[in-house]
Amino acid sequence: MIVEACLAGERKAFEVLVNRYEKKLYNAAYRVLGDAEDAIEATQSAFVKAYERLATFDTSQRFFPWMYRILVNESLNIISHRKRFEELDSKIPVPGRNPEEKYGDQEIGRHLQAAVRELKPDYRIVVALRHYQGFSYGEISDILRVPEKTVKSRLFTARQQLREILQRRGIVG
Amino acid sequence: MIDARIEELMWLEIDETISPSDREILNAHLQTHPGAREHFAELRRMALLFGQVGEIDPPPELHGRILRALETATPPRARRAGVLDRLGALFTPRPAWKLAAAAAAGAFIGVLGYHLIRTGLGNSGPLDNTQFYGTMNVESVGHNGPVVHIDVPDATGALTVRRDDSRVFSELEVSSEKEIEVALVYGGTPLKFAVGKLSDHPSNQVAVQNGEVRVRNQGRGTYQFLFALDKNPESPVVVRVMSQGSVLYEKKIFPTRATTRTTGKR
Repeated sequence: MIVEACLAGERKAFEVLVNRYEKKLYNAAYRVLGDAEDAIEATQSAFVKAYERLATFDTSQRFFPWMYRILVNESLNIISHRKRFEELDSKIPVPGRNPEEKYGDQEIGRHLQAAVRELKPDYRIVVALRHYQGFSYGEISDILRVPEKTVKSRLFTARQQLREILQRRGIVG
Repeated sequence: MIDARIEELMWLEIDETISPSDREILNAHLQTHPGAREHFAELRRMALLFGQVGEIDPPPELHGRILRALETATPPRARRAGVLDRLGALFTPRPAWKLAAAAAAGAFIGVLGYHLIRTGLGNSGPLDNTQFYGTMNVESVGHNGPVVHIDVPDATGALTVRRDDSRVFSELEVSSEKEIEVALVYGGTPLKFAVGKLSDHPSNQVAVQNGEVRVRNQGRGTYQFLFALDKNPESPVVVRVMSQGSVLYEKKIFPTRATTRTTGKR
């Protein structure tokens, strides 16, 4: 219904989708990109692209895989264009949240974020979608348009690498 | 060293997607391999670390930035041209002026349609060019943008022409209270058309039938026409307007003559 309203020219209707997905998408972008400004750019671009391409969205399908797919592509664009593959600064800020909430997990969050950023983009994406966004294998497969088998394989490799990185950092045994 | 297959099963268990048979295999292995149990516990701890990291709030400026960017974004219906682009690829690229002339014919139809709405479909007498409302100026077709603006008491709209490297197509926006039907026939030789309907009243239709393009419009409708006038550009385009199957108006226009500016009076 919202999509149809947008296609009928009601730009305001799209704001409902912005409100619904803004935080989720920003979080996913942040976990993939590891940089607040990049995550803002990816999220903003994803919404603009989604709006402009709304007519290509198949309304018989679920909206979120389509939306996430655009976000993933925007994030990959940012990664490839900016070529920010430099070694991580271990003091990546974790913005947002209440002080009392972030006090306990900020350290872990930093280390995890740093470890995730050491992975290749394809692996970062599956880790972000599985571990931070909580998507199932099937949903990730829908988002990335790759077979579930590929999702499992990427996750497996990503997790192995993550474990090694976290071991190196003394976070896990 | 943990076997890769066993480690994969461990992750499936952690992800709660393991099958009963695989769980049996995993449990059997864990019972007999203390090292595997330790490893499994480590993987669980690692997975739990992610769970300890909650969602972060987006920076406050994000929402405003998105909304501002959307204000300047291309409205989604305009993007459906992509469908026409693909259809248009079926045609051999033609000189732009021929397509432009056809676009002008589209403008002709739109203006005519509005006139009929305004004057009532019950009048079956032929109409005169001077009664059209709007502007038809094919010379401007080379530019992207509206070539006809329609602003009459009962209807508003515009004909916009877009072109890319090899194709020109026209987009007609119609907003009419009453239903009108318009047919466009290229004299003698069936036209090749790509047509598209972008947004519309539920009963609106656009179709190619026997070499004609037919539009039925009520309410708000947007249509796209992509023409390929591949034979004798001097042949006339016949514009036929109907209501309930009866021909109310029929007129031949010539693409070459349509390049003259025609401004109607109100």
